[in-house]
Amino acid sequence: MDVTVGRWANREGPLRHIDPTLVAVALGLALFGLFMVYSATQQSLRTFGEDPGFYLKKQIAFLMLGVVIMAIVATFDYRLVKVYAGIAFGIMLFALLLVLTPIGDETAGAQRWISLFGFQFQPAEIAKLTVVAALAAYLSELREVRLDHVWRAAGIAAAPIALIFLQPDVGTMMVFAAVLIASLVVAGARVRHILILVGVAIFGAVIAFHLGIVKDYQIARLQSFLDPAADPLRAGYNLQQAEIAIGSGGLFGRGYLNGSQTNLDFVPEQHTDFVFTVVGEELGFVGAILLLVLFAVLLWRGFRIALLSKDSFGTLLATGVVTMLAFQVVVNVGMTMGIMPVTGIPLPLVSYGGTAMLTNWAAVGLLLNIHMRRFK
Amino acid sequence: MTDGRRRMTALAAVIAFAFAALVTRLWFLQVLAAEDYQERATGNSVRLIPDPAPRGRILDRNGEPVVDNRRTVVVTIDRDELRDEEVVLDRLADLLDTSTIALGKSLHDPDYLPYQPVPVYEGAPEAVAIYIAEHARDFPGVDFEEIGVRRYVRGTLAPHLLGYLGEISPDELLDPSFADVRPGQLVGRGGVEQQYESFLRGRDGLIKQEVNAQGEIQGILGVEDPVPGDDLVLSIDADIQELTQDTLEDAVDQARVSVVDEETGTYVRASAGAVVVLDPDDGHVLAMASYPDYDPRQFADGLTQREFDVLRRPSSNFPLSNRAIAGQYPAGSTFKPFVAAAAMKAGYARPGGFYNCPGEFIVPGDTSGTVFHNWETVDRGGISFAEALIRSCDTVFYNWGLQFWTERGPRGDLMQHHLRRWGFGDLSGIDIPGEASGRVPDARWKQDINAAYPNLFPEPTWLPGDNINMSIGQGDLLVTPLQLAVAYGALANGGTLYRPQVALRVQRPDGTPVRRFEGERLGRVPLRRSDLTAIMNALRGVVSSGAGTATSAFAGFPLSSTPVAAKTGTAEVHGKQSHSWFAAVAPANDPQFVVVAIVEEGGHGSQVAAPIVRRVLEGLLHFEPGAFHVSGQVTD
Repeated sequence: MDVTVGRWANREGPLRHIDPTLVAVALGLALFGLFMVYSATQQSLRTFGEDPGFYLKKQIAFLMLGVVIMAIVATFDYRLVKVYAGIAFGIMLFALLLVLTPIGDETAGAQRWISLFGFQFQPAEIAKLTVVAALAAYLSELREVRLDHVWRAAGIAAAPIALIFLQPDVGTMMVFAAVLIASLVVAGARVRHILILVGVAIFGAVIAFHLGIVKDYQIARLQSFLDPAADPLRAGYNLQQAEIAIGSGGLFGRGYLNGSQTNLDFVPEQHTDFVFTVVGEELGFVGAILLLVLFAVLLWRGFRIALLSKDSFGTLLATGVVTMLAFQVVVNVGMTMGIMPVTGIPLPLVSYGGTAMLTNWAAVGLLLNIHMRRFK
Repeated sequence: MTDGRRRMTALAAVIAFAFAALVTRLWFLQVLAAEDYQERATGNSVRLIPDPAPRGRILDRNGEPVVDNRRTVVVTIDRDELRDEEVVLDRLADLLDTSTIALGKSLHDPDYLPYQPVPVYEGAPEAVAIYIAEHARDFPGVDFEEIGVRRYVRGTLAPHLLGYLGEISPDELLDPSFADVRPGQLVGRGGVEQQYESFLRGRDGLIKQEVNAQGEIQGILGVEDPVPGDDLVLSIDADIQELTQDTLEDAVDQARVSVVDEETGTYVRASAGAVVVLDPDDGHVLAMASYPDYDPRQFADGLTQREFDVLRRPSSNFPLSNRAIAGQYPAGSTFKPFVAAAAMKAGYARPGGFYNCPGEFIVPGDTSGTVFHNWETVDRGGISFAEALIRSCDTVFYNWGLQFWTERGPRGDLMQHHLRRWGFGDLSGIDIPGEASGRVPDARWKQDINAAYPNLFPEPTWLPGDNINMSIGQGDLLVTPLQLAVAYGALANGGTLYRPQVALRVQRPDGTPVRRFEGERLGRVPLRRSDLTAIMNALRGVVSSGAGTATSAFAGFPLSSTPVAAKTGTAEVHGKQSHSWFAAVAPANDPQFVVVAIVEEGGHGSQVAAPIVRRVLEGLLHFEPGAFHVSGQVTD
């Protein structure tokens, strides 16, 4: 048995190849988020006579837990993920089923939560990463991606998509679709096959619309995306208020904790899905660009890791994670500015929310893991 | 580059492209359109609550309030916030003691935009407002506001003169003089409310509140106090106005059951009437009545469509019309003093002259057989200038009318020219809207009207008969009661024509004067003072001499101490009973008042109009009034 000790072995050891930029940027985004979550919530908490730091403190706890999870995820060899991806996938499907049972909690006409051991969490958030892993595991085994493989890969994504559709949560469905397509592209599927898949998916969506399976509020939101001024007090209201918040920030913003749209509660869901409006209003164009640059760096590190990975599983896993994050950033920021439909997608690492925070740190952990083990 | 690398690059490019799109949009929102959004953010969080300024009061000449304001609670509903409409309306109807249907009808008034709170009930008791506020949860979208409403202290006093308030129209909103008026606000309609709108309307105050998305007030950003409107002091004497209105109404009521129309043998219709009281020295209006009238409180309480229809339908005889300024009638014999003046000016008549007063008059050389009758058949022979007026001898005036026609020049007839100098045929310029100009017809008019309506007016030429008819205030001549009063005022004051004026002054609520309205001279009538005196002296005989047409109507009036100069008139209108006219100046030796009255289809001047004027004069002169009754002797 060849036991290697000494400098050479250490140089290739995982601990020596942590990506500090990745971790720093992820932490930077999360800290940025803490400030924004506090600004978004302190005023209304004060009005109700509650602790203005209520959400901030919870978010700090989620962040700390998230960093621990990142460390844990980075510790075990990512190739173990490939082994357990199937089991994780099964558990995830089961959790999504639970959401739809009476165990799941309903908010605003949608069932998205389940409570476990006194904690509430959103299985859909965890499902994002599970699907990324499952697709990477499946596609990395193929030498050549044929049309039937494309269908099978689509089938992997379709099961959770169907369950999430029943919640319903169009945003998450779209994340899955994006991850699926990106994974297929990187795995080497033919462009023609991907186009066939997309065509079938669009056809299915049209059918769903016509059969009335899509809920009214989703159609209304889609309509208000197309014409925000048409119905200013209802579906388009969120959007208009969000745009006013961002637009009124101007070049340098109205100052931290000084946004009237934010303080006077004009933007609904502002600490979660619409957190970007706080950045826009209070920190202005400069602050918003800074946030986008942080995300760009994070994605750049992710791509770099995908390219550096020594095996195709790592490449696909990293690609999936990057796509998952990038898609959420683009759709989330885009929707607050009226160039993307309003779907319930949080801004990764920044938005308030425990499950998403932990999932995203796990995702960062995966990237880190691949980076750390790129030689071994 | 391997295929995998290339595909990864493509994926990165897609994401980079998406980020570029985000930055572009961000640049647009935050740099290019920032100002617009900043404005909208301010508009979002700043709520401007208007603090309505109380409208100025309207006072009579003695400072007695005629119109002031009362506060009333209006219940409004925001249709966007309203839930369970039927349940809430039921609850509200119970509280307000009204019907759910009535509330529902107001609520769905299409005149209100979807986001405007709709007023559904006015005059809610304070206790109800408090109840609604305390049980806000049971009344989603229901709110109330306190507004000022006009209060008519003297009830139905002078409605035509005062005018009323109505919601501002879309056209007016574009008018710069209404720049500070918001949609839905009330502005003056008719009368002095409209004429003096800019004084009466104050400037609304503003409360700037900071509100959150739920509309909850976070703080007060600023307060701008309202500036109350100025008070308007009228030249009207409220007591005389009331007396005038009551007398007119009494006279009409009595005439309908006691005065017989000679031609039909039935009681006169006495369908409408008007009285004008002027101060001849400056043209100020002391009283002005028009019958039938309406109750201005109906407008203040919010007129229903049905009430409005009743006011406008012909069978109500148009109570909204102010006949004192807008009613146009043949003047009848009340016109004769001015025709006599014209004849004096032309040299046809002189104070010492004598004139033939036969029972009938035929134009010399006219073979058509047209006969113009005097109102009585007796041939009076030669009578003095004064007697011609006292007896109201038509044939004397026919002769003067014919003389004007005979000696007409290339530019037309001098009679019309002289008559117009008294203000006839033109707006007097009184300071309330809706005045009619009357008509002094001439050859040109006759030609034009024939060209326009050849069937109704087949004769295009101005004939001797036209002048003859006009010489006794008939034919196509039309005057308003106000025009007649202004002309008698000039007669009384020595020849100055004043613009009639309803407003005396504008003052701040504390009494500080803002503006004073002096009598405005419009011109002088073309007559020597001695000639005016001659006419005035003759008119004194109308009520005092044995031959006077109104002597019996003034029986018992202390004429020796307070002489009265007056003239009766009975205006004939084709297809109608005669209008009863009377015009008087008192005291004749020191004129203080001009009173003109007309009762449409009221019979002879001496029968109905003269008793009205007498009664008003008694009030003005503080005499003990005699028993009031119409139906005196039948004269012209």
